[in-house]
Amino acid sequence: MPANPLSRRELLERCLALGTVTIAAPVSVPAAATAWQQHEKSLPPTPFCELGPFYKRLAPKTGSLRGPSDPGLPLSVAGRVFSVRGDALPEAVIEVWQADHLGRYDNEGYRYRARLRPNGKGKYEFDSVMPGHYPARVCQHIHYLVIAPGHKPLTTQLYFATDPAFEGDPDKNYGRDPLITSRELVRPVTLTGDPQQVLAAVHFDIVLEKL
Amino acid sequence: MMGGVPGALALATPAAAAPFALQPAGSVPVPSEARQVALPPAGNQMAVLCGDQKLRLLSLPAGEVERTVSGERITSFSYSPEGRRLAVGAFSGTVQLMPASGSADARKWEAGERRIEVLVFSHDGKILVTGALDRPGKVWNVSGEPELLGELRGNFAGVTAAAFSPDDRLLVTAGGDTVIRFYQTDPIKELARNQDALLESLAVEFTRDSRYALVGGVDGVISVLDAATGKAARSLGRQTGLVAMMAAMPDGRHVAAAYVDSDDMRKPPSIVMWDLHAGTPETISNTRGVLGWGLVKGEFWIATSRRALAASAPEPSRSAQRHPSEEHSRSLEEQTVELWRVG
Repeated sequence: MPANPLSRRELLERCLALGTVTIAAPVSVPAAATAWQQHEKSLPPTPFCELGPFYKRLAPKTGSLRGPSDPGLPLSVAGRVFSVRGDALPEAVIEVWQADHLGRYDNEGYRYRARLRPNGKGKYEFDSVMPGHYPARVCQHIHYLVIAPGHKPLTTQLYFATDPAFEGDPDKNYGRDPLITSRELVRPVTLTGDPQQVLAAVHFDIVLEKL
Repeated sequence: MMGGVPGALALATPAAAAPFALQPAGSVPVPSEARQVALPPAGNQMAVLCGDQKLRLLSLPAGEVERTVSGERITSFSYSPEGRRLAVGAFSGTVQLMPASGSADARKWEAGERRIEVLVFSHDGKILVTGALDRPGKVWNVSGEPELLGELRGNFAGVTAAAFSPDDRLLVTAGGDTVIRFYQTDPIKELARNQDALLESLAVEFTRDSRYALVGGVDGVISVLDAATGKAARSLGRQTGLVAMMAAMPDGRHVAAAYVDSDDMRKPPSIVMWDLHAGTPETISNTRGVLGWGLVKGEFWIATSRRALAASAPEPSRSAQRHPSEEHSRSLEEQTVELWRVG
């Protein structure tokens, strides 16, 4: 890296002068430089949320956390893992763990615990149940630990906009759980299926910071 | 692998004859709900973190407020072993080191980027370990102006517990990554590690001869690890609940452990006194929430809330409707710290 790296605008101007880039009208150099810079910073890293005491190593590699006869609202979680530059991170390892529908963690075994690998486009998904309320916590949540080469490990938690603790207004009430560090971690829930078999679906993208 | 700790203790120590029990040592009202308590060895004071986010230093036995620490969201605090200083960690990652008595200014510095969860002094009071959430811990020389001696290791999470050996030559830490690490203290250097645990460890303590570390956590088992190699020597019998706190007794023979119901941490913890020589547990009857504990005047003291907790049924939600008189009574109970001597 040069001692004084060029700004995006200076770099574009130099490239234009040398003919190594062409900017089609009506885009100006400053506008292109600004857009370039914004793109590079376009994805804010996923906010941190604490690990909690119930992390367990060596969780099974599976996307099916829910058994066929498990009680509770079926839940499907999907998302992608990116770098802050928007590059997919298929080499990431995602560990998730949560309480069952009654708010109990399985510390004896590995129920509702899994280790996932995204596909080539960084996409991950798993099937589970909507976690219950753990007695010492305000909100329902799923724990995440995401590790990818060249990136800072991320521990965070996924929350649900339908949580009764938010009383329908997570914008206003997400702070009721003192561990929720950002409104961004409270995700909208989509209910699908028929009245006999409702399925909740949540999309949760993960963005990791570079080391 | 169960049984006594091999060669770890002064075997000449006579066996305890009488069962352990909580004996009242006083009660102190506080202005707001007591949430966490620290006790200095002289027993002349206690530090109480209250529900109004203020840390109050109260004289004992009078219960007069000597100093109030506020302004930052306090997340941890600990007396130095000689009891003259108090380390206070904050949500922001700052640490203050202040005289326990008087109004002299505190030394304040940035010890981490996130909230400080762990503050542990060496036995000579010269070294302080600070553990911030989600970050490896740091080791500071606090005999003068705080000076960073070294950083601890961690794969992805912060330090959950730390303890110095009685001779201060070794440091053991437990991490959220489930790894137990042993360090020499001069200079700070990792010597050994144990990666056997699948679940997190939350409490660590050394045996009196510094040869073994006792490690307890979510699995409810206290493992005895060889400090030189990090390898497990044996374990104490599993109890119900997770091991949240541990403290070595002055007799060198016993260690107290608090076991918390992992399905509902609001229930009163079970307090077990382990005889390390025989490898046998003795449960101490307790119906209250433990706010803190420590060695006071050479004895083991426990601070609890006055409010008795239901052992079999979960507590009602704080948002649940209660009769005003019940609410008032409950508040008074939460605003009283009871002190117990374990003997």
